Amino acid sequence: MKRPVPLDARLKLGDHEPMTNARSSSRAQSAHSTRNVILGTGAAVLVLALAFTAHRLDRPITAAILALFSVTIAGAVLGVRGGVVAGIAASFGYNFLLTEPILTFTLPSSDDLVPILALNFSAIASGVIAGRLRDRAVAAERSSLLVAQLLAFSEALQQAVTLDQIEMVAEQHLGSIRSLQLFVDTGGSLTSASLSSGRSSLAEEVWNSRLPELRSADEVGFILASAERRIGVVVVEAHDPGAPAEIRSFLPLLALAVQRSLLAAELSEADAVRRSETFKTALLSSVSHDLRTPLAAISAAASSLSKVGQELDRVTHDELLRTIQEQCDRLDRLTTNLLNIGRIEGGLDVKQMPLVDAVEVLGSALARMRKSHSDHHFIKDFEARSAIVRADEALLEQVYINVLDNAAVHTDAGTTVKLSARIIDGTLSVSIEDNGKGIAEKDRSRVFDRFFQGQSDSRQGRGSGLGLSIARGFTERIGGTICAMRASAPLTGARIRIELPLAKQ
Amino acid sequence: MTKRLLLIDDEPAIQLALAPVLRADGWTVSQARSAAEALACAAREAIDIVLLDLGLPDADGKEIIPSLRASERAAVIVLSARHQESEKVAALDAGADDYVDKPFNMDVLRARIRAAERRLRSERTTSPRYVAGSLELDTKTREVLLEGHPVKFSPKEFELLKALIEHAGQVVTHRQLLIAGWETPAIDQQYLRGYIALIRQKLEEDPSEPRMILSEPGVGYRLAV
Repeated sequence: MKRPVPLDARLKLGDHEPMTNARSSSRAQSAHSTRNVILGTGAAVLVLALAFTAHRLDRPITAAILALFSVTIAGAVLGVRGGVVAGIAASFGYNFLLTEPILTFTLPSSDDLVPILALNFSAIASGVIAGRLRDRAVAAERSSLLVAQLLAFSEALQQAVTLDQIEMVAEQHLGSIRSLQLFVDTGGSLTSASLSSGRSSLAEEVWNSRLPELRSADEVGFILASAERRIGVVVVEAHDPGAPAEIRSFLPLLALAVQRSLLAAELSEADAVRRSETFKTALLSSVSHDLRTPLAAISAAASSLSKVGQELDRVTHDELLRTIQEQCDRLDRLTTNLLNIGRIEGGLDVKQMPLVDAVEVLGSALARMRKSHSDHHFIKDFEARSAIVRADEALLEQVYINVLDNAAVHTDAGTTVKLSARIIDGTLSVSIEDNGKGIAEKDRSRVFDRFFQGQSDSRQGRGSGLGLSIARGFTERIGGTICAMRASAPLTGARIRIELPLAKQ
Repeated sequence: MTKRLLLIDDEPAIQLALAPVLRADGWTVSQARSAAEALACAAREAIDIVLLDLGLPDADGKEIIPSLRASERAAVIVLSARHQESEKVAALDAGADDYVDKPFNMDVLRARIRAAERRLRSERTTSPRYVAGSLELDTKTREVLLEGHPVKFSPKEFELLKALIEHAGQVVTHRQLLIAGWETPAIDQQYLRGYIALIRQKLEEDPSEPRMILSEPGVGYRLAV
């Protein structure tokens, strides 16, 4: 962001002696008028000296014109006050030095009086006119700078979204202040816009006083208000007495920006609530389906056994019992995944997680999968012996189990699932590949979306659409990545690759 | 000698499903549906094994673990529907011997009960020899045999393996292992992981997929039997 030249510093450029330090302009302001008088007098004296010389050389007209000219210059350079002072000084000087009798203020004879008075009035009038022109020019420059300043401020505020950004922009754009603190009304009490600055007693005071502004030793507090209500307080520290006026002109813009920011925050909160409601609805509808399916199978198998159990042959009998057990396992996996969604959604701080050996976790996930999917061949290609990562051990195991389970569920019994682990450039890369139909190109990014379910093509039925989304949720939470691609030869199905950064030790 | 088991669970379906199987295994089963009932029963009878559900109507199951263990030397196995590792660790720290996650497989539960029984027996006999599957450990001679062949162990590895085999089939928490190996739990778990890896190298057929020393994520390790 461009840092604009402070207002005061730029205004001083019009003077012959530019103020080098804008911050000292408070003292300069009072010295300014005194200096105008001195300079005005000096300039007049200088030109009068020329006029006196001209008079001596017996050129009275030239002398009169030079005297008039000196006043015009003084007015043009020094403004109305300087012009008036120069005009009066020139009148007296002319009277004293040039009109007979010389070196007295005694007025000449009545014949000479008229031209001399006319000359003196002309001198003062020309000083005043030139001075007013100069003052107008300065005022015009000042107001155009203020407009430019307001414009720049307003543009910068457009970019500021949060309250602390607004505070920073305001502090940068107000040149004549030392510091600025923004406080906003949060349900009756004031809260600082930036976390770093704490409370301010002046802010509280002005807020409770019902006054538009309040001054303490070196701070001024201003109320920020929208059309309907008071929305906060700005406290500035400034030594320049001109600063409050400058800040007052900035207040409406600042109030507008603060209000916009507050509204945006309210909106995004409302949006988050709405999204979480949508999520809950989707979750409930998916879950109730996924709960009912295994429940229906269990209920059917159990009621068959209880009603007609005696008439069934041994094989069917055992088959029904096994169905009940398998469906119970399925329900268990679903509830575990649901609990884990809650844990991931609830926010996990990766810095708080312990160091775990991801290869060890992978081994134990594989051991569990060999038990629950004994009808698949799991083969293993571990180049990495150990890989220390920062993670929740149980959730990391769940990630690997979910991906392995996904591979087993979507492929036929008797097929191979390959598990490989290697370390490349400080990253543990684990790939799980299968011999199924693979994942269509268009679905490769969507398989990790919640509730995404591919075409059901295996005897085990569909999954819940939660397993891979949890795998992604947790992997990304601990700084890793997960993606789907085609399996490498000789396998022909899908490959899911999970990459995790190794912990720095 | 009668073996007594106290089943504490407020869910009638669990009581109904478990009691007959446990009786068939030779246990005299007492049943309790609340913490108060359980404590009354434990005071009345000499209990060997307690199966304890943590979510009881009148108290948190964890709170009654110390009193259950105090009455007589009873082994407490927690039945927990809570999958939070911190809950399991808290119950184990409170004095529970092991836990089984609900829903559980009956075979798993029976194996845990057998492991607890074995542990009670070995505490009573105070034999220096421990056997778990193909593994034998002698605390007197500090000898470890795998399938009859001696395996060399460093003192620290030996202490860790001893802690595991004393509780063969049962979970041993990270904390318990740190105390066994370093005499204080205030040690970086990284060291423990390193030593477990070394022990696995010596005992496991495939250390990357251990079958003897199993990890219980977030809780500890378990020596399979």
